Amino acid sequence: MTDTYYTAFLSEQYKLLRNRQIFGLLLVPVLLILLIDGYIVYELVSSGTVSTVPNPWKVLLGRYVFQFFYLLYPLLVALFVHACCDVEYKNNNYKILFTLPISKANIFFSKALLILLTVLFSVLLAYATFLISGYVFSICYPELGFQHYDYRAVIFYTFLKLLITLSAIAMLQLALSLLLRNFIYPIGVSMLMLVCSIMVAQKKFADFIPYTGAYKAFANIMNEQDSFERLDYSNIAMIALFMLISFFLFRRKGQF
Amino acid sequence: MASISTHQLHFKIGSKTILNHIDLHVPDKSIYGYLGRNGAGKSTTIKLLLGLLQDHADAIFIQGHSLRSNPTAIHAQVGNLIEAPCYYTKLTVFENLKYLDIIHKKGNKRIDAVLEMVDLHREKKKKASALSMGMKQRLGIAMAIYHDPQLLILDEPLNGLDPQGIADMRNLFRQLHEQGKTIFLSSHILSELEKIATHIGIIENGTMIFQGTKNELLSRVERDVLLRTADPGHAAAALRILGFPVSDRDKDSLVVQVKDDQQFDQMIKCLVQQGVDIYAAESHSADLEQIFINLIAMSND
Repeated sequence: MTDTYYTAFLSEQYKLLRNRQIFGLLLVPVLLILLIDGYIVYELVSSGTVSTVPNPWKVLLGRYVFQFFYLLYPLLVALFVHACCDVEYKNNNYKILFTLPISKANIFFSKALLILLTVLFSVLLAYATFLISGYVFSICYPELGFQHYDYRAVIFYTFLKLLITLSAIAMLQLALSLLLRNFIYPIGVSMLMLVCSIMVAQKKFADFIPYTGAYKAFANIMNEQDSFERLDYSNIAMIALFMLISFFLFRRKGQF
Repeated sequence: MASISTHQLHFKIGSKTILNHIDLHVPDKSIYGYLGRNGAGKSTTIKLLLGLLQDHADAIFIQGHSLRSNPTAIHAQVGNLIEAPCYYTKLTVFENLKYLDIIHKKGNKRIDAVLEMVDLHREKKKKASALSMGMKQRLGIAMAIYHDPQLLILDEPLNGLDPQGIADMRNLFRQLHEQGKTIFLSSHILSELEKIATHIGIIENGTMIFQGTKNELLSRVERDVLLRTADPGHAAAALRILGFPVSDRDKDSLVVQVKDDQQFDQMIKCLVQQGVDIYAAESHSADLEQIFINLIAMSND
């Protein structure tokens, strides 16, 4: 029996792992944290003095990292999701996909799961790199004071909420990429929404824009916010909602 | 049993009828050549047969099973190549087949065997995007036959192939046919279809205007017989009395139209009885291309 979810998942995974964009999503955030680490060390070495900050986890590392993350991560996710769809657009490969002895539901949900798992691994890698960076600083540069603060809970919840936000963005982008073949539109919408979400971040309705979560991640780490808010619940609902919308669009793709 | 049968298959886009109540009958283990002009409805038929377009009336049966009710089971039995070949550009030739292998589980030996069959084994490590047009077409065919399907549905599979490639593919199709596979083939290269098809279907403006064996089609059309004789005038007069159309004549030959072998035999016997000396009789059958053009013209009249 070939029509199983497991078979569909394995075949999609085989294709996806040969997609270079996956490494972009996985490695760029890690690389960014390492670059910020390098910058902190450079500042420290070049100035020769240590300016004491209250909580280096947030003021030093968190501030720089999340300033980049809220602008960069949603775009990385949008690019990655579009690349996953573009693989099928090229050569009209949907014709292969829809004549395989696998149901459309199995194919779609294996694709969606792979996208969500890639986002999960990307955030996990970034989370681990962030923590390791702080611990390495605490050992190599104790004068920075990382060892004096236990910020693990806030860091964990900030990354968890970022994961939820990025998962919602991934499903929204999946719907856009299934709807619009041209690269410009899904990425353009993603950039526009990102800018809009920053502009309206303080409004109540901003909680219903998934992209707001990326900006709020920066606020969370700075304000030591570790509780779930309406935005996070809304984003969880968005994951399910946009997954269903994407499934509907994917089924329609079969009608050439 | 029919490998493919459709019952009054009808398909419309908006108010435009693309297929008009088609009863397709593709016998098992046949090579069925599906002909039609551009826009006649060939590709639409093929997309419907593969489930890429929705047949709302449940009019398509593959190996006796309803396509609408058993799409995944039927897809396991069908290989296809529709218009341009589909493949993943970022994967190598081998990886493209390996991707299918994850689903069909035939093993690496099958991949190597199929690449050998389409003469792509030397390019197995090449990225699909780096292949030439003909090689891409071969890859498309390799992907279509990889899972050893009982039925192959191929739309213009000879596109982009050089003469050697066309000959190779012709041999491959014959080989698959000998193995008992059914091949449903649409192509504009009618001379190739004439060489390999056992059955022919012709569609025009969404309507089937002919369906049957290749011999039935060829026998529908009169063929010209060039007779070289000592007395063409006498021969022509004798043949006209018996109702044979004589279309051309010069001082030592004439052209007679006959419908089939029986008529040919009758004509020769008549001339012998009349004491006409026959030096040569050359039969020129109309080729598939001519028959196709005539049938299309007749259907439009």
